Amino acid sequence: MNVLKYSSLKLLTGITIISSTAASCGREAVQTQDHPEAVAPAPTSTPVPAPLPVSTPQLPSKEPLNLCAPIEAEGYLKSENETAYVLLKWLYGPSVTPSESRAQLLFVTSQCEFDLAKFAVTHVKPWMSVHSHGAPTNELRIQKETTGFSVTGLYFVMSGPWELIVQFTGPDGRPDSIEFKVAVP
Amino acid sequence: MNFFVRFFVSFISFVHAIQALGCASCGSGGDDPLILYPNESFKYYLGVSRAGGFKTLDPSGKSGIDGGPQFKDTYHLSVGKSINESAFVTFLLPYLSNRKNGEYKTSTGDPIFSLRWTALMPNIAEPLVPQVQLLFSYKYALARSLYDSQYPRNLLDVFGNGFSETRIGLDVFWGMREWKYGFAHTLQMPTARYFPGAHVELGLGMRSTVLVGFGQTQWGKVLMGLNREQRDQTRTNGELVSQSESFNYSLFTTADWIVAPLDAMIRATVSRRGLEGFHNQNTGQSVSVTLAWMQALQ
Repeated sequence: MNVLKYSSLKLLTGITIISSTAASCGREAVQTQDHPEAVAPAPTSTPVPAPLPVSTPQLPSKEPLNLCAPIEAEGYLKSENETAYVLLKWLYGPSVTPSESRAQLLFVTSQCEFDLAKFAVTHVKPWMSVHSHGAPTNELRIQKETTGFSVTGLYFVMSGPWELIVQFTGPDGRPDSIEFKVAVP
Repeated sequence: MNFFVRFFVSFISFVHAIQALGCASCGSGGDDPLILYPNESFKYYLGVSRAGGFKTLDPSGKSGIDGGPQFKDTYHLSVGKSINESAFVTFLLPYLSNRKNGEYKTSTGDPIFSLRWTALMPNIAEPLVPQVQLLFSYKYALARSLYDSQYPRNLLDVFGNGFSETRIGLDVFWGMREWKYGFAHTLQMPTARYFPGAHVELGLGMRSTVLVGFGQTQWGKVLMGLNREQRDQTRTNGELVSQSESFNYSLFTTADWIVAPLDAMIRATVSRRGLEGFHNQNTGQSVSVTLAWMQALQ
């Protein structure tokens, strides 16, 4: 009987998480083949997700709830050294040069807190691994803004599958990086 | 006496016939268009070509936009010197001009040093025996490439692919009859390069050419052929990059006119890279037209 009750509670919790995730549907796609879970449509209002899903009920069991699950579902990808979750939002593009592509990078700590002061983006590199080349970055500009980091001066020199490699330092000052798959039409 | 007459007639026939001979890889859009025949010791080649209609092809072969120049004009200067009657060396220096929307930039391209050795000479008496040549060439990556470009909006300053390359190959050509045919294979071995954050090793490449044509010693020849270029997967930082192998098929037509009094030849070539109907991937589409003048001075 207790087992049945516990299972029902878990099911209820799962439905709640899925519902809160579904509420954020219609968000910009962070296109990826390797991370299909990151394909999500673009946010229409505030790009920064709530650090804690307040609507999520606490489980009566001792099993911890994965508080980052909704964040992952919204298109945040875990960085290589797992110091952060990062979301790539396209403000303009991605498109082939001569059009300039502009992006915004949003960070959440691995503890699912939003604190922009803890992060610094050191470099952003467009790379097309299938053709073994990148693109000139001499016009690249990275600026810290209130909601995230803006990246301007991105030029993808041809259509096709690209990667956008973001190098940054996390909350503990450790260097970290993340690679986004970008399909340039 | 009879021996000397026969020898003289054979020699004249050989020299006369070989003017219309050629090879399978020359004139096919390859990088070493200048060929010296056994009776030539010094020759030069001047060529001008225009390529346009650039498109990019992704790993699935889907066509996309190429953000680079609209036209690439190339001026070729090549000189060749014979070492002996069966071997010669050539040096090719291209000079390029990239154009887009009224803007242009010029630069020297990647120079190429080549060596050809004719292992088996053609013989008018045995037209079924082909000419067999062994090829060696080295391309030095001198020109600015995409890796060093400072013009992200149009790539007008990109004149090479950034990788030096050694090539060895085999060229087999049956050219003693009016109908000519042949094939060539070249193995391309690029040199690895280190870029900030990436050590890139391009895969081995293979360029294969088959061609057929018609020619007569008094006027020249017309050839049509197909090139197939394949490159293995790239390694970046020691790891193979999936879906990075490339294929490109191109069709070319070359016409050679002999200008006998000047020991010269005029060549016109039209080539289509990224041929529709073939499996092209991770490559580009373009059309190019080349006009060239080559003349033996000695």
